[in-house]
Amino acid sequence: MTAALEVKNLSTRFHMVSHTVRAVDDVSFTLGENEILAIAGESGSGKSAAILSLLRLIPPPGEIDPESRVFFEGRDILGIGEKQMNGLRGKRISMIFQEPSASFNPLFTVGSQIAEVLRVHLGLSKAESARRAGEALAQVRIPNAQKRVRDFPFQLSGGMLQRSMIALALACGPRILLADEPTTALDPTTSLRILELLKEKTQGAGMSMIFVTHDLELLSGFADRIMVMYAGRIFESGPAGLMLERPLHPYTQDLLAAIPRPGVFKDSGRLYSIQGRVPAAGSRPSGCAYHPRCRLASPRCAQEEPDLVQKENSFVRCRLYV
Amino acid sequence: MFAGTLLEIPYLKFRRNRLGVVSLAVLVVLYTGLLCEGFIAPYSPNLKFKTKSFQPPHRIHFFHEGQFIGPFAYEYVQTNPIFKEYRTDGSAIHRIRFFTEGSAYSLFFLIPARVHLFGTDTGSPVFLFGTDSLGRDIFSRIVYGAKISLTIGFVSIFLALAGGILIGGLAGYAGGVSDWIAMRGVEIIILLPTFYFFLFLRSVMPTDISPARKFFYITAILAVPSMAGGARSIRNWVLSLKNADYVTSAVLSGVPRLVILLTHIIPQIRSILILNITLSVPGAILGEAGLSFLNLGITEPSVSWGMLMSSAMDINVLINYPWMLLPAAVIILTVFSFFAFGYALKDALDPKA
Amino acid sequence: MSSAPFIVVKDLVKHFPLKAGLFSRAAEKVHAVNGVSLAIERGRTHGLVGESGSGKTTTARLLLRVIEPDSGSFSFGETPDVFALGPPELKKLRRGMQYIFQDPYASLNPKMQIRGIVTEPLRYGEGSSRLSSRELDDTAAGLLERVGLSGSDIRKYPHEFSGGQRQRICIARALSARPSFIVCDEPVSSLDVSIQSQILNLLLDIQEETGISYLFIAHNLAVVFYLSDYVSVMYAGRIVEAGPSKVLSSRARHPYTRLLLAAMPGNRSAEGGAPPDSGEPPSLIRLPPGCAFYSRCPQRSQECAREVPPLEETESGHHSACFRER
Repeated sequence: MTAALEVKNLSTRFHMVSHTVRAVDDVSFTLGENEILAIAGESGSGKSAAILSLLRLIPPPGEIDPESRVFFEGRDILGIGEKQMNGLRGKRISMIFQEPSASFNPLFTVGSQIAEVLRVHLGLSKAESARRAGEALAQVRIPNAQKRVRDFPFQLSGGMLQRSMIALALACGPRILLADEPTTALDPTTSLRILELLKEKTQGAGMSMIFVTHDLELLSGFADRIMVMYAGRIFESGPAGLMLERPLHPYTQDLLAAIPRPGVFKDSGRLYSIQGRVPAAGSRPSGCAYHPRCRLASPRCAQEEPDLVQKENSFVRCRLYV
Repeated sequence: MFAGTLLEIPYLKFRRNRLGVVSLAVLVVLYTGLLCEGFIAPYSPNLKFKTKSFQPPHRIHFFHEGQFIGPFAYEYVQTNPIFKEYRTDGSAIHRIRFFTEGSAYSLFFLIPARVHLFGTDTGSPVFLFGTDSLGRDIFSRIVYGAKISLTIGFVSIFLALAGGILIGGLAGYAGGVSDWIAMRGVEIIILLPTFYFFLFLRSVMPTDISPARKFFYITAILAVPSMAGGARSIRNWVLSLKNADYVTSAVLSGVPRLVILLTHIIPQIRSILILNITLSVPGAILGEAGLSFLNLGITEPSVSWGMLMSSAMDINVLINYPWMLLPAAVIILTVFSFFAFGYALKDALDPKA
Repeated sequence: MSSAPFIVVKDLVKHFPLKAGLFSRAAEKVHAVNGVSLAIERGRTHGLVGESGSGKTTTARLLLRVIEPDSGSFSFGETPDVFALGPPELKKLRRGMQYIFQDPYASLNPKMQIRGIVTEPLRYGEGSSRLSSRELDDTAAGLLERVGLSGSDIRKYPHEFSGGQRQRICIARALSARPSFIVCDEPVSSLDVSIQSQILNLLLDIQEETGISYLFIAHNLAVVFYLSDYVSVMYAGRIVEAGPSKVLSSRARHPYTRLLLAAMPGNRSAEGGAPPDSGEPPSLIRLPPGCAFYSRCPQRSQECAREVPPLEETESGHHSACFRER
């Protein structure tokens, strides 16, 4: 498997007055060609900070550790100049968000905004970029795309706007798409269709994707590989099917057990629920960060944090597997 | 993700804005000075040194005949009592001493005291900013004038705020006809040129009244335009917050309207209100200065910065006794500090900046 | 079902007029809720599912009279019609009905202490008595402990809590007036999956202890089926199918319910992909004359385009509004 992106020892910290928040803590992974890698975790796990770090979009007082390396197309993109980085963002590496409003200016038509990206990044002429903008909308299967280019963002439904944002992100034919919970705000049927669209685009266009979500269940049949994060650390990573069927880490097991499934009703008993909450920023427990909530915790878990060890095709960070 | 206390990020951002920090320091100094006016000012504002009218500011020297002897001033001797010309007497030295005894005053308006920040060892007066036509110390007058000039802005803005919250809040809440009438009234006031509006209001005000009532009237006049602007923006905020979930749930719990306005809506816009206050105070200070400059505001024996400038209106005075304009410099410094601090605060509180 | 259910809603209708332009005389309307009927037994949960824009939240807000209905009736316990009540009676009745919002960040006043938030219904509701500061502290602490938070948190502000904890605070607030009916409007949709189950379990525990009835609104089918005794499926302002949750989850009749079921992540992988569905809900301004689901329906016939199918009982307690699936 050739790598589209190689992340080595990525750490991102936020320096506050009283403390330092380790949002992303020594995260390494490889994203394969045409692969969909999902990063799953609760809010505060560092999953969003991780992908924002890849684009170097961390606002102060945040800072990416100088030891971190992100290799893309043969160079470390954490080390290149801001101008070169701008040339990559939106062109070679694109991003989509939970809220399409983050990508679109409400005062301009959807089509003109896609066309502008094409003009800036690919240097197309005005007419050519306008034509390609219509094609881009058609590509994400928006009905009447040639007419829809003249719509303003508020004229589109949530699902259609999400599609338009994907069209915008895909317009320049990126190698990597970063998706930050793009379906969380959508209805289940719409969300399903967006996932299908994304999957089809990665398989067809020589593109890889990192998909961030808090909902593990969403990933079945969609992601190739899943990486579970907690308190800035990788807890488990491995093939998606395997992980959803036989999760290794107690945290992954708990997450899956907490989801109500079809055919489960209240008279069949309470759902499993993880006690407590994600540790507040800056107050990470000692040892394994999950130990205060873990049902299998031993005194040792509070003292030392286990390494990420290989277990068949997966990697897991838990004393049970050391 | 970017947790921390609620004000940590604004604080960090504010600290980085050097101009903002300096302005804040200037304002703190000005307002502290206001509290201990009697201590900082060497003389009472209306004390007349009859033989020293229009004396230029004393220059403060450190070396006498090549020798360091600490801060001191040479005596100025009046050479022409008609054109108020002075010459320096190089033999008469008045050394500046700190914490000297002087005339009685009340520290913080409460504690009787006689110690002043500075004076001279000989007891002969030193005029840092010179004197006016009656021989009164301009520095002392500026220090005492701060009381009116710096408070009138605040008092009038708070008056404006109270009115604005009441009018804007209730208009936004009630909606319908009362909202329409209140907003059209507000727009008319906003449309009028502010200063002419002050003049108009001043002209309908009674003329011979006590200084205290005059202060109150002027404050109220200055409050009107800010109140109109405030009412309009508060109304808009009320409209946008009226449908917030926590407001709906308060309505469902039977909380009365005025209580909702005061406990659920106004607290949300507190930082915006503080910002507006900071940015409106200089307007009120300038308004007072303008009115007093035209002799329509604060008059003798009260002292305010605008009133001090009115004595510099004469072209002869400006040419011959330019130090009479020093109060203007203080007004500019104050107004600039308020704006610089206000905008620094605005940037710090704006999550997007 | 011998006596009448605790809550009976009949033919609820709400059309929002679109603001007419300066020169357009015929004002158009958004047909948000078009004749919704439902019943809730004491101590039971009625689930309401549907996509955004289906009228779930409007229905809920109509019941609490946050918005006034165009027509319909709503009997609540001893009260024959809540919609007919004047302001003083309504104020009295509202203590018995509470609302939990979707977004725990928007539904708590960020500038108010938790103590003030959770006791607000007590302090202002009809029949509220002046409580001393001490009594308020004790009540607030008791309520917080009830929902699994620490009683010492009463002086804190909302921003010091996570989303799940905030939702617990909202529940504590709702419980303070000892209601007999709570509308839960997507209470877990904005929470992390791991926190969802905590809140769902809490709601179930409270129901077991107090016999409160819930109207539970969500777009996540698995959550609604898990929590509810009876489920109604809404589409374009109408209920298209209703029945006991076990029946509906296994023997859904309406094509729209089937589409929703097939889109559930747990069902999806089993059946290998979702059913082909390209459509979006119809415009609520110009509703089609027939079945609102017509444009997306795989089983549509000409009859469906002409007439709105009525909600009819297909088996005991199971109702469906479809001509093709009787």
